[in-house]
Amino acid sequence: MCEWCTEHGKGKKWYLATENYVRKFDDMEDWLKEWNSNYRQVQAKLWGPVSAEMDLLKNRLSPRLEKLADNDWEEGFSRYHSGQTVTLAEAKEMCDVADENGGFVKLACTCRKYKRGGKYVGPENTFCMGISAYTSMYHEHPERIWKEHKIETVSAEQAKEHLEKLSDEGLCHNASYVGSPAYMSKLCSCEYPVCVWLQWRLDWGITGILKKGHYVAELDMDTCTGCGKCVEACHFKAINMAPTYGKAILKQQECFGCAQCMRVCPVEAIKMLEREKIPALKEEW
Amino acid sequence: MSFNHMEVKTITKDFPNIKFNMDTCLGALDCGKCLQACAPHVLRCYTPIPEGKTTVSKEWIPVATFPSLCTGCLKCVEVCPKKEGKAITVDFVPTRLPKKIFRRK
Repeated sequence: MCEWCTEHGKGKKWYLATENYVRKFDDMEDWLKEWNSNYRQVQAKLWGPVSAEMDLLKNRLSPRLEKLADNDWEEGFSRYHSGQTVTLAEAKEMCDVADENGGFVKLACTCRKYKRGGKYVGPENTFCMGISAYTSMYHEHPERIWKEHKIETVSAEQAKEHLEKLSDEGLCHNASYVGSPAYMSKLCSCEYPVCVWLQWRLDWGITGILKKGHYVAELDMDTCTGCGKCVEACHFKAINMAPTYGKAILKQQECFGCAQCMRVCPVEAIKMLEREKIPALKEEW
Repeated sequence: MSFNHMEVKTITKDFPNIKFNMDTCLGALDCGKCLQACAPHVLRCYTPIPEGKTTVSKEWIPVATFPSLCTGCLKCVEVCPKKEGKAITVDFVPTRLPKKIFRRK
């Protein structure tokens, strides 16, 4: 169990616990004020010129400075906006929970808007989903959404189909909260260079932005044929081709557990293990 | 933690210095061609908070977030629609960067 599960999960995983979907929005005005004044400032500070300095700093390799900067960033993000990788099966379970508690809203992706990249640039591609009671915010406060964003309300079955389609196209799913820790609000479909979280976690190693999921992939070398599909599918640089074997090699230390490799494997050489049952990776999130 | 096995040596390396001229830039949200052209996604845009205010301004400013990933293809400069006085400039400046060297005892 990760720390969010033990604190907010009530015995389940935090993104499957019903209580995290039913947010009381009586104090929404106050909450929005806090969001605007605090998170927006964190955002503007960290996403601006400071990030370029941060990049230099990471290259300078001064352990003390690195640690200081990391603490700033990790606090800023794990307090307001962060997430965890989930598998497609878990994302579908989340759809079942959200169906009774708030519903779904399809949104255009904000990361892709900031970066202008990926397969799906443009407001017509709506595929990041707002779920849970948080969706009422989009209807009540339209000023918080960009003009080009289309808002589309969908049913649970449509949402599941949508997720499956995105998985087929090679995107991995992340459950995320907005506001305070573990309040379910979004279900993102990410890819490596474009998604801001993946880039920051993988290139800078800031753990407060995105947590590893509850599963770890395991590759069976005997059945692997070396077709290289999983290498393409992995967003986290955890699978490489071993030229001497002619087969794939999976680094479990770097696996986030999105299960995309398992999905594309034609000979079923990859299976998912629970992270808790692997002693070396039990505490790694 | 002991660093006996590790040596830090300074190396000089060409490091990109990416700058935007906001007087000539058309704005990242309206134009954004340099963001699209960048393959490793070094560039992104954001809304700053003006000094003395608490709310975010409406203009979108491009910024280089990952200069270390820059490959130096200069496509961002190529696609900039301003013919004279490009809004984006990329200079490779020799910068002193420390490099960790591990050696066995």
